[in-house]
Amino acid sequence: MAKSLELLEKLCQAFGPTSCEYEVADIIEAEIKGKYDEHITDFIGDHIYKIKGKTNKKLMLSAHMDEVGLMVSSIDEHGYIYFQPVGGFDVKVLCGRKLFVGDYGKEKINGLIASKAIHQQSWEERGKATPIDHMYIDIGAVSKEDAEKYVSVGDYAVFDSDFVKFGDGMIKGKAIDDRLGCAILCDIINYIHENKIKPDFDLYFCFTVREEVGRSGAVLAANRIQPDMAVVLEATAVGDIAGTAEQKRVAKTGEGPTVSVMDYGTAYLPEMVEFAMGLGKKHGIPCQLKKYVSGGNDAGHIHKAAGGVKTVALSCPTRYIHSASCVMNSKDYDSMFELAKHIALCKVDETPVK
Amino acid sequence: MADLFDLTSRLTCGCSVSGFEHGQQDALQYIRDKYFDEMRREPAGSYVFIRHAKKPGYPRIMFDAHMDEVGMMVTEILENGFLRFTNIGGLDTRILQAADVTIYGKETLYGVIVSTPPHLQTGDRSVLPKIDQLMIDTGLSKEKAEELIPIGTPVGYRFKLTKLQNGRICGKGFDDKICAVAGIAAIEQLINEGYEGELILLLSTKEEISRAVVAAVYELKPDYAIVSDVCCAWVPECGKDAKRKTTVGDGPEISLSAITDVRLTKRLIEFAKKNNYKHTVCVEATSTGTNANDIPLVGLGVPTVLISIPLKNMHTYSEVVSLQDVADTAALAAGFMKELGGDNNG
Repeated sequence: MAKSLELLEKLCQAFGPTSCEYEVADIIEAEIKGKYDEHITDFIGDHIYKIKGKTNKKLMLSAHMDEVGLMVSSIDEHGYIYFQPVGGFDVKVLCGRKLFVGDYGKEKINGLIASKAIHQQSWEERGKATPIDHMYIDIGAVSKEDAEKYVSVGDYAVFDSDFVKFGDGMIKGKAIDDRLGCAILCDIINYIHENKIKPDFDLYFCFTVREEVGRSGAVLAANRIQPDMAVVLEATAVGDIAGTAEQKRVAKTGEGPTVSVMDYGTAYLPEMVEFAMGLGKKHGIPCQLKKYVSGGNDAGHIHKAAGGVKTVALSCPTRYIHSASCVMNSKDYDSMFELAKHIALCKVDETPVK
Repeated sequence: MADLFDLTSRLTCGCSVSGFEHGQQDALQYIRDKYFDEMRREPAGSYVFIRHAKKPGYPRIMFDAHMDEVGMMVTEILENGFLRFTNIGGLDTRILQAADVTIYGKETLYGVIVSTPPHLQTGDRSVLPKIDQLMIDTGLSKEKAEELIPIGTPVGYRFKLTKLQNGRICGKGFDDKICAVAGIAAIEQLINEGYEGELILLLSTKEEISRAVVAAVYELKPDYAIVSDVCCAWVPECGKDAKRKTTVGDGPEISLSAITDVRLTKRLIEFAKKNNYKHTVCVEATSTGTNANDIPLVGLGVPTVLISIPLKNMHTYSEVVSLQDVADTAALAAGFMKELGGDNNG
């Protein structure tokens, strides 16, 4: 576990907004080097690592490498940098945030999203969130020319937020969505390698791109692999904060990964839901049904790809998702790893694709 | 010249929420040892640093900056270790959701202020929550939270002091510790130049809530007070037509106000002009919103001027100032203190 958290920290700290996932891919490649049979990449940046199994049935395990970020759209005469969001943000978690601004292979510089002092706000402005198109980044530049020495239109920005272990086994970091899924896939590859296991399925570990803009790279990976079954490893927004009605909590942190029944992208096959929940029960792994129809993930694309794929989504309950301070329980990491590992190592005839 | 970044780092790292300025002992001791003969905490909580006169005949000159900053205080422990809190000083809920905080309980703990997930947001999504609708996530059980976090525990912004381009820096508590840094740098300059009069640095308490500075000034009875605080810098949202356009990088701003000391302030402006000190002038006719409102009428009265450092994003964890402005403020303050020192000399 300690080792996995180190990997998760490294992955969360990486600079990898949508269509700029290279740094994440580099970390993954270094972590699992030599532990797979085949490495397939495609032109948009998906990385697929194949481990051969005993049968010709194909299982796709998928996690996305990208995180929500910002893209520089213009620079004004004072050197302030305007941006557009890349991915879904609640504007209320942006003002005042420290950022890293840059691009892959370019030095990242410090910046922050300005937030006009409360003293300078009119009564109408107070109590209202700043619209995203009124926000701008301050890097300390004094003019347009000065700012252009460091930043170009098209550069990205991501949160500057450290990785913290706190409370009773809780973790806070940026980009837990979905570096956590990436870390678990790496852990499963490491586990199979260390224990010299020959799985039943041909396993395709897919580290995908572009999930956060809703036009997922996972669809290309699924079309290429044409899997018989797919598991999506994700992070899901939960409302398990004090005072929230039970039916709106979605899931509880610390009680294992969620198995989705329905979200805005997918109505999951009941047999897949039962399969995952049953496997959890059989092995004594904490897991829970996702008790609210919300969000969406790569499953929405995968289950319709390549003529249709039986798909299940396991998600780690995550508070304050898409903010600089996502919060999860480290116990859920262990449970999600165990459940995903058991799915990966299932005998084909114990699964819905038999 | 003092290392301004190092001093800023020392002064802003600990707990200094108004009324709970106990987290700065190391920094205060460092300042005392390096520059002063004496340090004491006066009854209302301000810290007084005195460098004794080497020769008689000088006026008592005091430089004041407040050492407290805005923050929060725990009011209730809820299920699963979530905390209700209230604000200390003026906070903007715009920057609070999903922000990192430090809880100064029986142990120093990490916490994050909750943000409402999209599926739980109803109605107009642009409406900001009120402070009493927000909570701090401690990640602890209720029992453990109750054990470690008594009601009334102060909570501060958790932050990282960051360097931006062009000598700009970003952090929290620059209101008003960046002015304390300027004051220390000014006093260091006077020491290096062999100034022999008495020098007083007052790091005053509770400016953000009750301006307890008056208690310390009553006892000190200075002949002159130079107050330094931060002022809101011009930002694009203020508009191109804003009358006051002083911004970060423009140097110290001298405040001309009927509530401080107009004659002394005019003397400061003349002095700055004559000696080519970088500065701007701002008229705040009836109120400066700082300790400089209160100090003139303490005891038998204290002639007071206000020199401000422009700052962006005031009261947030991402305040921005220019270290060059800090250096320019120190230079102006040192020059003027020396000038005042000549008043009764000899």
